Amino acid sequence: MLFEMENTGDLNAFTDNLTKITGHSEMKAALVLVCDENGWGPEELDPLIAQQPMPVFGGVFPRLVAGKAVLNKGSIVIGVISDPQIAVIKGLSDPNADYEELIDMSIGAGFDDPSKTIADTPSQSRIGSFGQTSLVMVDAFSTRIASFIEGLFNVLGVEENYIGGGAGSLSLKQKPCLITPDGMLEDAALLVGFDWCSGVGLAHGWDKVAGPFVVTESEGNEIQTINWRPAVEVYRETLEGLLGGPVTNENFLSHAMSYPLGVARLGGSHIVRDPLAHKEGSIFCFGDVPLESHVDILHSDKERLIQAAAEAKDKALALFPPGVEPLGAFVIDCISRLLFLGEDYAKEVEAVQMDNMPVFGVLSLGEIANKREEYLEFYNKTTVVGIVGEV
Amino acid sequence: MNIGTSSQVFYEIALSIGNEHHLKPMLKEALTAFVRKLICKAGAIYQLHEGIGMEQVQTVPRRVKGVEAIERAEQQLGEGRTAPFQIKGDNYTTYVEKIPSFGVVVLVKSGEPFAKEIVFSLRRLYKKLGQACYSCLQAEKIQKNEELYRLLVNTSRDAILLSDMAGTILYASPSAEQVYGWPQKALVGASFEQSMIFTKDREVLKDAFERIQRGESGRVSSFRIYGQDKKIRWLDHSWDVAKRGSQLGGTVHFVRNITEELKQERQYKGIIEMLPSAIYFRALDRAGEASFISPQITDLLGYFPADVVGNPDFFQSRLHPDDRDWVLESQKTVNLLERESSYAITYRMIHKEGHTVWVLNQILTVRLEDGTPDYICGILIDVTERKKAEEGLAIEEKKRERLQRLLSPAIAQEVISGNVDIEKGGELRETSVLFTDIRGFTSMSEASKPQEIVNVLNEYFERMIEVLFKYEGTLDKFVGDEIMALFGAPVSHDDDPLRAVKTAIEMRDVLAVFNEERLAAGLTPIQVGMGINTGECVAGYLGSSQALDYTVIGDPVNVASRLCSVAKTDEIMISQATYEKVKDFIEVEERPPSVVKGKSQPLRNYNVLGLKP
Repeated sequence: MLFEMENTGDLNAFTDNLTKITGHSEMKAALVLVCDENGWGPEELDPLIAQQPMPVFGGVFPRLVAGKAVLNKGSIVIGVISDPQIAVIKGLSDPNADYEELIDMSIGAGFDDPSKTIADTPSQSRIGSFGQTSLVMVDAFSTRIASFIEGLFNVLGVEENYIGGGAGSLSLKQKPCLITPDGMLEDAALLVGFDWCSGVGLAHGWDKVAGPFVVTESEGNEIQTINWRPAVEVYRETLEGLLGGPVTNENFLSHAMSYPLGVARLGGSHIVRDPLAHKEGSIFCFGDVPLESHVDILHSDKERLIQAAAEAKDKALALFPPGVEPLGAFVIDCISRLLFLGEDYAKEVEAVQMDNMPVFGVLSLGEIANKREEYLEFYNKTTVVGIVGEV
Repeated sequence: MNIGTSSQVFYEIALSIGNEHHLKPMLKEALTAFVRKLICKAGAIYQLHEGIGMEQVQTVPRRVKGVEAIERAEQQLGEGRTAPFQIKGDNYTTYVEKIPSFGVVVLVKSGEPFAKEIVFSLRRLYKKLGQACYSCLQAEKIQKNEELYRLLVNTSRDAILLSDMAGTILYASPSAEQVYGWPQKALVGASFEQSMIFTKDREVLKDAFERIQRGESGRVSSFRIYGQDKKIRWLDHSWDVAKRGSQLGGTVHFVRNITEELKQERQYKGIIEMLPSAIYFRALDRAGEASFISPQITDLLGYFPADVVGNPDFFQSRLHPDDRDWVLESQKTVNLLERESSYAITYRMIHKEGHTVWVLNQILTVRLEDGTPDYICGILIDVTERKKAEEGLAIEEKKRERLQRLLSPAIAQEVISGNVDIEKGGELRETSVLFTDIRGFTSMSEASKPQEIVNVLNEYFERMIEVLFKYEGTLDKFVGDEIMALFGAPVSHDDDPLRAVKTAIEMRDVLAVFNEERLAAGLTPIQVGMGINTGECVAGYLGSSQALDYTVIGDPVNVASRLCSVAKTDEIMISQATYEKVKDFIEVEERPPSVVKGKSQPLRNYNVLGLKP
């Protein structure tokens, strides 16, 4: 695994780094992580990707993590020495899409073009062992991410680790944000299987402060009513109770950042949902909130969040197979944690650093992770650490 | 354990159960909720089929092959282990639980196992899941039946309707539009057909509507309605009462548009009725029992179709006794496959009024496309007249044969064709009778071989008869070497006596030629004497019924014979009576009167020398 980075957002510098990696004789593919602030779109990147002698894939994110640095601008290019298996699923907001079928088809379609191939193994034996570790990137502004994740879990199953997150812009505008061998795409998902072994840890550090509430009307990522009242009304009332002051349209989002919703799971753990907007009584989140689910209002403090990031790292280390040389640690951390932690975010980045191991990653709009032990989920406000190594 | 959170999770899982009516999607939603909400690694549901075993019907994720925990559970279930049970693995616990009335659920929980109260609480959800499965299976069964019924209803050419007990149409199948010629929406909600019915059929249907309202089943096999296009449609309507338990639940109607069928039927009927013969159909194994017969049977045998159709004894009972056995025997073999598809037999039947009718029965075995015999179609044709004609022809033929022996062929044909009348029966006719006789025939017979005699006689008769027929005389008979010929019976000419004389003269001439031939051949010439007399004779067919011959009898015949016997070789002796008729045409020399047996006075007679120039 080779790393090249630049923190200027200069396309030429990125081009140099990319060609350095793709020109390396031992490299088989290049994972590219790009800051949204660079302002690179398909016009800039598509021709560049097309020129490369190997598959190039990755995403555009609000921030990047390179070691202890958090990049507002710039890019990271990671050279991979084993052939990855790449599948692209388009139409991630299509209300009629059957993602299990699309994933099946996309995986199968890879065989036709060796440059995008997943493997030359027959489909039946491959399915269920797409790679030991799968990198999953989605357009964070797609509306059917939950269905895609469910389909992914159903097709590929539990016998691999997943790590990934939502790509996109903090401007909350949907635009091409996934870098695929086909060029930059929006409203899509990128699935890359590696033969890496990995240890994945995740934690969020958010705890219940109010609830439960029942989501009485919802559709995808839109919560329309809670306890049969407009969701915003219930949420605002609760927050005002907790804060002891008024919650206005103006300060709604800044408070929401500190008081996410949590979909309850057994044992009191939550799938965190970050309210990102509200309109006509509805609250919009990154990720779906199922109808009739019970949600709590969560809160945390900086110390607790930083501690959770360290927990994620520790879990990853604990689950990484012993005796394997780690190649690096891939961190997927929610951008909202940075927004919440502010200057203290450096402490969170510090908390996920590991000795003798390169740490790189993204600040994402939603996180995807699974450690072979449970259902695959799309998380918000969560830290995911994946330590990877080649067997 | 946070009980509050567990309750929320159970509530959400409970809400995920039974949202679908189809088993697999329902199980998928529910199992996903179990796995997701209980933070499990995987799950599987098995349906238990009594006496067959277990079938994996749903898993989350979709493929669990290779998932050790699931495979171990499957193995233990396969070995007969009964749920509930748990399997402890490395960092996971597998829970195998019963789904009442359905099967088994397997959940693989990583890390911390479920608390006991969770395990017990989940059983309530499994029970609910079992009920949902049962509902889905029932719903699927109902849906399958519904699909089947819908298929039947939608593909049926007949309209299928449902009405309430008041006769209001509640449902009309898609084909109703074709059958009635009204859109479905016009039918549904309408009072049964009433507004569309052709005025003249209202009375016919009044009783039917009353029966529908009384909840009785029934049928009206043909009546008319108006379609929306104002065209008349013929319908066949049968209905049955649908009962729910002991209560009447409405009426199901099956209605067929038979307009085309009736039109065709009328056309066929018209064609059949125009035929001069009776047409019948019968089943292969129902010899003699018609399932249909056209009305011409009445003309043929005096019976109506209703007397015949479905009556297995009719045919046999009306067969002529002389034909019964062989006709019935023939019927037995008509259905045999090796028999020709069509054949005909002619036999006699007895008309209702007792007379005999000759029937030609043309029988056709109607076959299916693959050649299998299907039914019998027959045509009964009255051939009595033909038979009579045939009999007449036979008689005529006999007569012809007889006449041809007596008369010249031309006259015989004239008589047969009716251009010339033959007076029948014994009657007095003036007849000229000609006898010829060979002189010395007895000694000639003794000197020659019998075959030679026969040959000579045949040649002699041939030449003589040719002359006789030339003058249109009638050959009465040959008696040994003697010829008896008639002129005036049975065919009359105005100049019969002269014809008789001319015949004799020409016979003499022909004989002269014949004798020259014989002399040239070194044979003895034939010497003939002839006699002719004219007078009233009794003419007619004489003899027995087996051998009836035309001839004349009476005194003139005897006289003619006597004159022949007195005539010397080459002489033609004619009587006074004949002479009186022909004296203007011939030259004669009178001979001494002859004494004739039975005559008191000798008779004057003349030898004919020849015709006057």
